[in-house]
Amino acid sequence: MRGRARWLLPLAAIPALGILLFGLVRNPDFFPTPFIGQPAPAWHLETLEGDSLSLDELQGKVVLLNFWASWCIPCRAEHSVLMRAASAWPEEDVQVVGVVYDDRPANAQRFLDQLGNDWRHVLDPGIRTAIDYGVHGVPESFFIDRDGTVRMKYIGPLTWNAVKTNVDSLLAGPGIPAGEPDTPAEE
Amino acid sequence: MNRSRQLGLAAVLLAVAAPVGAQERLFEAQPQEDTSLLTDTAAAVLDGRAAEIAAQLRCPVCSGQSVLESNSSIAQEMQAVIRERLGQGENEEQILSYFVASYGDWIILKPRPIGLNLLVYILPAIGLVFGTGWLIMLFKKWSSGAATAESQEASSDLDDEDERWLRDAMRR
Repeated sequence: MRGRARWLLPLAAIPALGILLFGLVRNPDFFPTPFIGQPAPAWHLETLEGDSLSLDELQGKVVLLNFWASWCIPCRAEHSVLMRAASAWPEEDVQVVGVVYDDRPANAQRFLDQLGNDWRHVLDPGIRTAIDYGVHGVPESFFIDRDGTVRMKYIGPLTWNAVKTNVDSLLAGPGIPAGEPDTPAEE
Repeated sequence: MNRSRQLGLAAVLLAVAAPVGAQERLFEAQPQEDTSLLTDTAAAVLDGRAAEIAAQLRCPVCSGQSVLESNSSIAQEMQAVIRERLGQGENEEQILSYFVASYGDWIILKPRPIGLNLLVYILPAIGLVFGTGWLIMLFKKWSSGAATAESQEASSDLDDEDERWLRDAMRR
């Protein structure tokens, strides 16, 4: 009996170690979103300029929906990537839309005046749209295809590589682009 | 306390209180459900139910806390969403599923007993059963082996093979 029990104990430790290892190698900043392959939650919001904009209006275009705030330092870093994204594709194909997250409109405007502004931004009073989209913090970005389906969620500051790969594959046609965010979220 | 001192105290209190009132929120409060028609008790019940739901949800920016405990702006807004939805007649299950739909199961503090989550509920029970069984066997062995305790103690320094050999030899 004793000999067998000796083998049993390390054997039982294997699955336990497996679970621990899984926890170790997992990126704790990566939250799986239930939206991949699901219709993007609809919104109809006021823009920073005072017009109105809705997701429905953008149907037929690939939308890069970017949640950001002027108080968010990584958003500052990612801004140049968005600038590049806004000018890289024709407007009738790809639309970058910023969602101002938990911020004063005046501060958001000042941020854009400083860093440049080539795309539209909507205000999200009470961060209701962010909650609809399951946003944890900023920056977070959603790649929405021409049919209004969320294809990819990117947590943390966008890289040009991630934008180009995902937008190109959405422009090319249906199908879920591979890969998960390679940069951890910074808040 | 004379009158001028009372006035002075009042002025000091006002000065302290004023900035608190002046503190502006980043956003105008969202129009919430109209509670003016509700009686105070009905509003209190609504708040109690909202708190119950908020306590089950994980705050998205401070994973260790519930939405009820957290002071972060997102948690506060989530509480407002819960109140609005309760006011619109949604029940607890519907509201929880709304948050699960946007944040995934992660948002529920207590894992739902489905799929892999079942491990959390089953493993402790299995561990308890096996652990108890193991202990019982151990105790039985100890009590039955009390007679040979001395010889076991003496052999405890030996490795497996030697020990087996010794036991076999003693049995003969």
